Amino acid sequence: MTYDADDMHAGWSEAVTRALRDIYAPPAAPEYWDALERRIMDRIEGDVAPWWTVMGRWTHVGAAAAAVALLAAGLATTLATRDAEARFAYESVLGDTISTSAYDRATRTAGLSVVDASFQYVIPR
Amino acid sequence: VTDSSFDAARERQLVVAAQRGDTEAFGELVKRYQRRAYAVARAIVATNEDAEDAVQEGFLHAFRALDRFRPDQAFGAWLHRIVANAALDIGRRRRVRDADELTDTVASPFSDPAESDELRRRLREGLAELSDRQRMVIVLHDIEGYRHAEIGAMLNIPEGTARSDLHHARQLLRHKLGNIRGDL
Repeated sequence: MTYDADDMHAGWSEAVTRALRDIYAPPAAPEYWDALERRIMDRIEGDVAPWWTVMGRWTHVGAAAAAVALLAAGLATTLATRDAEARFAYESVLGDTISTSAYDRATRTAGLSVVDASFQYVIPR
Repeated sequence: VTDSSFDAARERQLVVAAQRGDTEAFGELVKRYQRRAYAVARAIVATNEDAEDAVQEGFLHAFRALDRFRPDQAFGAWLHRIVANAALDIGRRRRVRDADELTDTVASPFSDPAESDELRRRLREGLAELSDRQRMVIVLHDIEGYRHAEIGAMLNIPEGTARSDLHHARQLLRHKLGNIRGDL
């Protein structure tokens, strides 16, 4: 900052300016400025906190829900794969001896109980 | 670190970071500018407490308005205008609140029972007799070193009015200081 040239005219003493500066001198203690800075930042962080907090909270909830969904999907896929593998292994070992699909068809179409259907396939007609 | 030695490139970095919501960067700007902001506010309001409030309000407004700050502007000048507006607002509210105690309000900021220096005592009396705007102008000009145009922008008055206020304020203070001035 510089003074306008025409303002430092004769009659306005430097001593008066010095006295004015004394009267309006800001606090000198560094602690004062540290405290003021903290108060300013508290207000600013308080001002932005609700928005960030809400966003942060939703981000956490969303991330947790996504993790649970992923876990559930992974578990379902594993179980389905294991079931299919077991079924495939079972059919390949037994071959045509017992056709599970024919067994299923019999229980479904003829209205037989599980025991009757099993007999029907074990004891030839 | 003074405002003038504050590297402009660093200031731009901090402002851009603050515009993206980085409160730490804004904290650095607060650290750099709070003293100057306080001085501006103190020139306008009557007490240290009101000056502190104005500085806090000013920084908060500035933070909220950061997206409207253009990088080609000087951050300090922009901030000080906002702080000055906050101080003017606090001053207006204070005047309305203290309307019944106007005499005390004007006199109290400058009263100091321990004051022994004759010049300062009379100066305080003289300052108390100035209008608010005259006092703001003389403090911003003679203590803080702002130009008339800058003062006009801060106080929302024409540059010529700032110049004339300074003239009248000095005239009144000269009269108040009377024969002391001859000894200075």
